[in-house]
Amino acid sequence: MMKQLRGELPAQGRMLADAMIERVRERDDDWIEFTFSDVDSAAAPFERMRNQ
Amino acid sequence: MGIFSRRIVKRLLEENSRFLPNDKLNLHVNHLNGVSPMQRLTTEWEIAVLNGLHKLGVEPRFEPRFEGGTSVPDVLVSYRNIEALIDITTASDRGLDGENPFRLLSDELIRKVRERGLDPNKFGLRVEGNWRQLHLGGPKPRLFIPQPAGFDSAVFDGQFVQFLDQVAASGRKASFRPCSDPNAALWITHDPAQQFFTGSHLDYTVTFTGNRNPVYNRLDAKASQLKKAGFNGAKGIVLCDAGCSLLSKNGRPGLDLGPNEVISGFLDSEAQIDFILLLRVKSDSSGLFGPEHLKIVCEMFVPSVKRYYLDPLIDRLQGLAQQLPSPENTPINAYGTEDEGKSFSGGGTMTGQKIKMSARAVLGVLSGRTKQEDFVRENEPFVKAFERMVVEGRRLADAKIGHVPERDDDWIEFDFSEADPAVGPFKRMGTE
Repeated sequence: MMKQLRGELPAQGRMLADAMIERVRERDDDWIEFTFSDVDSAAAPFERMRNQ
Repeated sequence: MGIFSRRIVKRLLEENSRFLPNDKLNLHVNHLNGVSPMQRLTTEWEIAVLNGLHKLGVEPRFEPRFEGGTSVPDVLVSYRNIEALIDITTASDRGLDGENPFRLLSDELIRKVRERGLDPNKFGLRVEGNWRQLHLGGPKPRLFIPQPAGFDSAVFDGQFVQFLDQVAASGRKASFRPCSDPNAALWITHDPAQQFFTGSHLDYTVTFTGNRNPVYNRLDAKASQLKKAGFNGAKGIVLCDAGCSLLSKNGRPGLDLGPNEVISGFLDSEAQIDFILLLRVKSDSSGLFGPEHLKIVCEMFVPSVKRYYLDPLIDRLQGLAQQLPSPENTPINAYGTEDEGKSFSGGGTMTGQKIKMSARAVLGVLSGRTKQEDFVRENEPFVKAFERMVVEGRRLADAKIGHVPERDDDWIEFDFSEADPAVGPFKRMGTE
């Protein structure tokens, strides 16, 4: 999981698309869940285009 | 970085894919992904202008070919039966910067000083120029500075090393004037009281002659191409600012020239070019950056004798700026070599138990691509706010992403809980 956050997903040019906290009531920590976008031109090279 | 955000450029590319052929689209993509900042900037303008012309309703025909023509201009437009052949071009100070490599010499000086273990902020560089010879119609401004290949022999010679040794030993105020090259007139100074590196030189971008400047050169080159297209109707040039100082200042009457004088002078001397449409990025003078403080403005130059028969088309083309997206940067700031979108890092808000900051910055530090110390330096108020939440025994209660579709970053907003016993002391209880 950390490997993905530490390299693969940002390296693929993905950005954070969503974040949410999953509450765990009877324990002393909660989970934070990040969802990544598809490859985003803000962080990735432009892809080849085809005339539509 | 570019003039437009990368997400906007992507949108424009997608829209352009409805009317541009594949080879043109992919030439644009290759240039955008290429290593030359100048080519990226030029391509961004071309993509935006072609997109804007399409939306303007001037029936653009891209890369039209005419019988007997030996060049292929960018676009033929038509409005109320008036046609005009248009080429798109950009002007920049790149050539002048190459002739007067002050920036490169400063960078090299800073590198050498740092290499010697000294603080570059205590140093300064002043380069003289031919200011005594300058007058309207006279020579171009020129710095007395060697070209980069001659930096080591003309500036960073044995005497320079001695100068640095002397500074290292005494720590006192000192100056050095290289004298190996008779064409170089510059001073390197050291002042222990100075806070930042200083650089000064003659402004070599001031224009004294109508036909020897970056704007005239680009217009002249494009006029030659348009004349070879084999088209007998009206011809125009869309000139875009890719970091050309001349385009952002007014001439001082009797002293030097501004864009109006240069462009009008060009049209007077070039009868076959009927109009020039100038596109510039204008700031609202707030000193702040970002799309809300910048806009694209358009100025049309057309000789009055030609305006009569071109009028409806000219009026239409003057609306081009309204069809273009908001710029993210001024052209001069868009010149960075890094090919990345602009981050909101350092920006955001803190209200009550909420912290809103750059999602890109957070991703950068979580992924290890941004060093933690860099993140902390750029986002210090937010880091302190996080610390306060932790000290108060709060935990993250909610997190959400605020997507910003037309810019290259998003916001991440953290919402903190009330004090939580999971991370703080138990509170005193009373019978309920």
